[in-house]
Order: sequence, then C-alpha cells, then structure tokens
Amino acid sequence: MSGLGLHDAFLDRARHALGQEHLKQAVRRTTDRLRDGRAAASAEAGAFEAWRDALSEARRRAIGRLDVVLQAWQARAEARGVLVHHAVDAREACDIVVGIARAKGARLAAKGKSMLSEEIELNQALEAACVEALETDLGEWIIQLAGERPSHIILPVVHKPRGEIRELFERHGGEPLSDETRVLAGYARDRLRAEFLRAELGVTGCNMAIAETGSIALFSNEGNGRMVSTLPRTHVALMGVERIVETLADFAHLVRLLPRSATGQRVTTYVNVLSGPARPGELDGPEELHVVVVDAGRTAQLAERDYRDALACVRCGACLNACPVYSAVGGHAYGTVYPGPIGAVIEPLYARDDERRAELAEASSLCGACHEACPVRIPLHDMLVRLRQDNARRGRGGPTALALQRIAARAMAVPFVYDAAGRIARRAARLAAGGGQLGRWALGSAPVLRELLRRRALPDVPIRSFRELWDELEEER
Amino acid sequence: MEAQAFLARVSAALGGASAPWTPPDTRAAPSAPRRRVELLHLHAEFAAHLAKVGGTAELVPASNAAARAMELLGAGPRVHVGLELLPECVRAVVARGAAIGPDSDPLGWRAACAEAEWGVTDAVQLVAETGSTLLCANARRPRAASLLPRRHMVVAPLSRLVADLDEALTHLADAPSQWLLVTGPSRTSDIENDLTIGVHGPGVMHVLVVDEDEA
Repeated sequence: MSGLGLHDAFLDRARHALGQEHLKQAVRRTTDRLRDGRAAASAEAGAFEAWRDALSEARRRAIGRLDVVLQAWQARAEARGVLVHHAVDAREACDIVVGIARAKGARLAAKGKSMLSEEIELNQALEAACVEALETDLGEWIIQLAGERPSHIILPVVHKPRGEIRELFERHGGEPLSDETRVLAGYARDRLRAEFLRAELGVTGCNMAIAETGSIALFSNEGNGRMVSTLPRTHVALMGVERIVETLADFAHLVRLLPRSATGQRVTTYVNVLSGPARPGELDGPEELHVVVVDAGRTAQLAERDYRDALACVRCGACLNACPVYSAVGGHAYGTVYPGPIGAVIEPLYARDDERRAELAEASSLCGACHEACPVRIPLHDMLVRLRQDNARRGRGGPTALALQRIAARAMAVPFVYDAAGRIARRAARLAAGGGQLGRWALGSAPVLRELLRRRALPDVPIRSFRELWDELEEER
Repeated sequence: MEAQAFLARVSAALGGASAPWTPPDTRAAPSAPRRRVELLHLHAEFAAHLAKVGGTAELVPASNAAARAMELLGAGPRVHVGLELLPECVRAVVARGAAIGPDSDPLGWRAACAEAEWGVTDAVQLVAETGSTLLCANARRPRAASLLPRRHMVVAPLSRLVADLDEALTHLADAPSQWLLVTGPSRTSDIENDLTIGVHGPGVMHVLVVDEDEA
C-alpha cells in the first residue's frame, strides 16, 4: 500500500508484464491486428457510423426500461419451454448451475466460452460438486490446461507462445506433437470431439437475449458453442441481466457490429439463436434449456446514472485493442476478469468497496481511444475521470494527494497565482535538470513528489510557458 | 431469487417501474418476388462475401445440379436433412448412397453425423450482405447435419437470396427452436493469431445455388 492510499498491485503487475518480452510483443501484435481489422471493416462498411448510432440507441433503450424488457423476454422464453432462473450474485448463480448438474446426475459439463462464467468462478463451483468442467473453446481449453486466466476477452490466450501450447498438449496426451497451428488445433479437435458426445451438461454464456422472440444468441467462430448447445441433453446459458435487446431489428445491428468491432469480421462464422429446447419430433438439440439471469453488481450500476451507459457494453474487446495501456501490459496486469478500459470501469462498479479494483481507474491515459472504438459509444474516458473523482472523495487518494489537488485547484482558479506558481515550478525543474543526478535526486526525494512519481512520469518542462510565448507573439505583431 | 423480487430490484434501480412494453409490429409488407437479374446480382455479392471467409458458392442450372452434386459428394458416408425442401432436381442424388435422414433414432443419427464426410442441408435464406446461409431447426431439419460432418453442403434455389440481414431477420418472428447463420467453415485464431480452418465444426462449406429458371 502506498502513501497515495491506492493499492499498487496494478503497478507491480504492469511492471512485471513490461519485463516479459514475448508477452509484450504478442499482446502488441494481437491488438494491432484486431485494431487494423476493425479499422478496415469500418472503412469498408459505408454505414458504420449509422450502425453505431442505431446499436447505441437500441442498447440504451433496452436498458432504460430493463424491467419490462426482461419481463417480456421471460414470458416469451417460458412459453417456448425455457426454464428461467434468477441469481442476485455469483454464489447464487453457481448454486443454481450446480443444482441443475446434480439433478441431471451430470459428471461432465462441456463449456462454451463465457466471461460471465469466469466472473462467477463457475468451474471451481462445479469441480467442488464433483462435476468436471471442461472448457472447449480452443483458447479457453489451453488456459484451463495451463491453470491460468484469460488475458483478453476475445482471444483469451494471446499471451502464450505456441511452444508452451505444444508442451501443454504433449503433457495432456502423452504423445509428441509439432508446433504447427494445424497440428495443435487438430489435436484439440480430436480430443474434445469425444467429450462433446460424452457431456451430460452444456454450459454457455449469452451474447445477447432478444425480447421479441424470447431468444438467446451465441456468436462463435470455432463451433464449440454449437456443440455444447446441441449435443448434451441439458443446456444451461448464463446471461448477464443487462444483455438484452428488444427486437430482431435491433439484433441485426449487433450481428453487424459485434464481429466487426471484435475481429474485423463482417459476421462471425456462426450466429446461433435459440428459442427454447428441442421441440417434439426434433431429433437433436437439448431436452432442457435453462437460462440463469445473473445480476452480480449490475443493478447497482444501473442505479448510478453517471455510469449506466457502461451497461450497454457488448463485450467486443475493441476498447482493449485501442488502449495504449492494455496494448503495453496485456490483460493479466489488471488482475480482474475484465481487463482494459471497460474492465477499469465496470470492475470497480461491480464492487464499490473493493479497494483493489478502485485502483484500476488510474490505469488509463484518458486519451479517449476506447470511446472512439466503442460500437455503442460508451464514454469510458469520462467515466474513468469520474471514478478518479469518486476515489478522491472517498479519501482513497490519501491526505497528501488530496491536499495537493486542493492547492492546485485554488491556484488554477486565480491567474496571478497560477502564473507565479508556474514560474517557480519551471525554475525549480530547470535547476533540477541542470543539477543532473543530484538535482533529480533532490526532486525525487521530496516526499510529496516521490509519492506522485510512483505513478506518473514528469512531463518535460518547457523553458517558457504558453502564456509567456503568447505575450511575446503579441508584442511582435 | 424469485422472478418477481428480481425484477422489482431492477425496477427500483431504474427509479420506478417502467411503462408496459409493447412488441413491435412484425407484419412485413408483402413484397413482390425479385426479378431474375436482381437475384443473379445478389448471388454474385453473396458468393464474393462467402469466398472472403473461405467458403465457396456456385450457381448451377437445374439441369446440371444433380450431376454437380454427385461429383462433389463422392462415395463417402453422408447425412442430409430437409430432403423434400431441396430443389427437386437434386433430391434423388442427395438421397442416394449411405445417406441417413432425420428418420433415424437420435443416437443413430448423431453417430451417422459424426461419421459423415458430408452433411447436406437446405437453407431458408441466403444473405447477400454477409455471404451467410440461414438454417432453421425443426422436425425435418435436425441440427447436427451442419455441425458434426467434416464438410457441409448447402443446396438452395436462387430464389432464396435476400439482400441483407434486416430482410432475413423479418422472417424469424415466429422463432423456430434454433435459427443459425452459417458463414464459411469453422475457424480459430487462438494460437498466436494464426488462422486455422475446421476446428470443431466442418472445415469445408460449399453452397450449391440452383438456378431453376435457366432455360
């Protein structure tokens, strides 16, 4: 814990990440590729900005009357045979899924990729109940074999080099493999195929629910999400309470924007929309479809008007790829399930009293690139500023920083004081710079400055301020 | 938590219960069938977008469809669904050989799909905007035929082409148990951003668009 009152866990993890050359390059390469893909897709689609407007409006409209939209969705889903459950927190959500697994006598739960499942730590709950939880998304499976956590919400395993993946698979299968992507993916296909057919329970997330038809939608590229929602006799989908649009017309905008924003694809390979379990006479598809609607801090966020728009998020990951901080340190440095700008906003909001998460609002340059990239135009940079204000108000900045900020606020409000303070600061900085090591040491060891410099680098000090330059220019004219 | 109590929490967070929700009007205005030249144009767009993601589409005259299907399907094991929904000219070919239809028992059906080289399905629509095929599950169209075989063939008449997603989705207000957009073969880039085709789903996706009006 630093004198600033905020945890330094992010700083420590970020420094650690910056020391890992492979990680740095891999994350950078991935974010560059995804960002370029998104840029190309948005340039190609002439109507991109209009779609963003439409999806932003659709998401905010649904969230603005979430109670009746959920009710309408549930009525239609139940009419088609869906069993709808509600969970206030992670624990209740896990209990519900474990309860279903027990009732079905399930020994193996095959899982599609779900960030909500990571959030509620469902795998641990299932294992504790003696139900094997098997991740079947290639990236998630690798993460599970390695005993790690995803580092990107779309590409969970960006941080891992292929050599390590080969070693994991070799240890798993006990046979030598090559480093070729084709070979590694082929191994996963063969091994997991048998498990899909064996699993009694399929568990997935829910990219979006559609109120009009009482449906849930799953977007995927590999096809494992289709496997686990088609082959096991029971399918359980975890749905964040805010993940809903009102109409099929609204949903069309999501089909266009989610893949483009995430990977630059025009559409994902599979867009799978389920309205109830298999109907009489259907040869396959689950006999039972359960949807667990999970709150876990979301309605609390709904009540905070300043942050309500963050619930419009469609989890595309575009803000991660656009963020200079994420691109430099990767997802693990955040220490939370959701990394990057969206994580830095929603993670503290999900748990307002969690000091560890409060720190994440500082992990941003406030450049606004996240807002530019967001398909639903969430003003993430504004929210990050507001979260910092909240931190200061709650005394999380510590007495020193708060006092400094108060003084700065006063000084900035009075031109004369501001000028004078600037002159003094510039002279002191020049002195320090001129004094070389000694000067810098003196500056760095001033207790107040030392605290601030833990988190920020000092900008280069100009010889003359903008106002002084302006005055000179005025005189020359 | 009980549904009522759960929804009451949501209402409270919103600052009070919202006004009742009214479903949208889904009665689509009846549209005139597209002219052939328009459909050919849409097919070109459809095929171009599908090709970009590694799928293939070809337009065949009805007179040649059976021969072409036979050539592609070869002698390997295959499954098919919705036979009576396919263009008449290809039904005999698709039904031939070791094909197992949806009349099988569930376990036999699943095993047949897992063994199959080809799974043949119809499509409710072909979406030009994205190069997608729209498949709907029902008693005559079980789901595994487009999922478990190594290759997936879609056979559909030219008249199934629609311009965009909005148009495709207006036909889904009656909500089948599953509807699915399939656009190209299964893929992943999870390992070091390196694209691989055919992870869990079929590694080949081919669309046979049958031109029934061609003289």
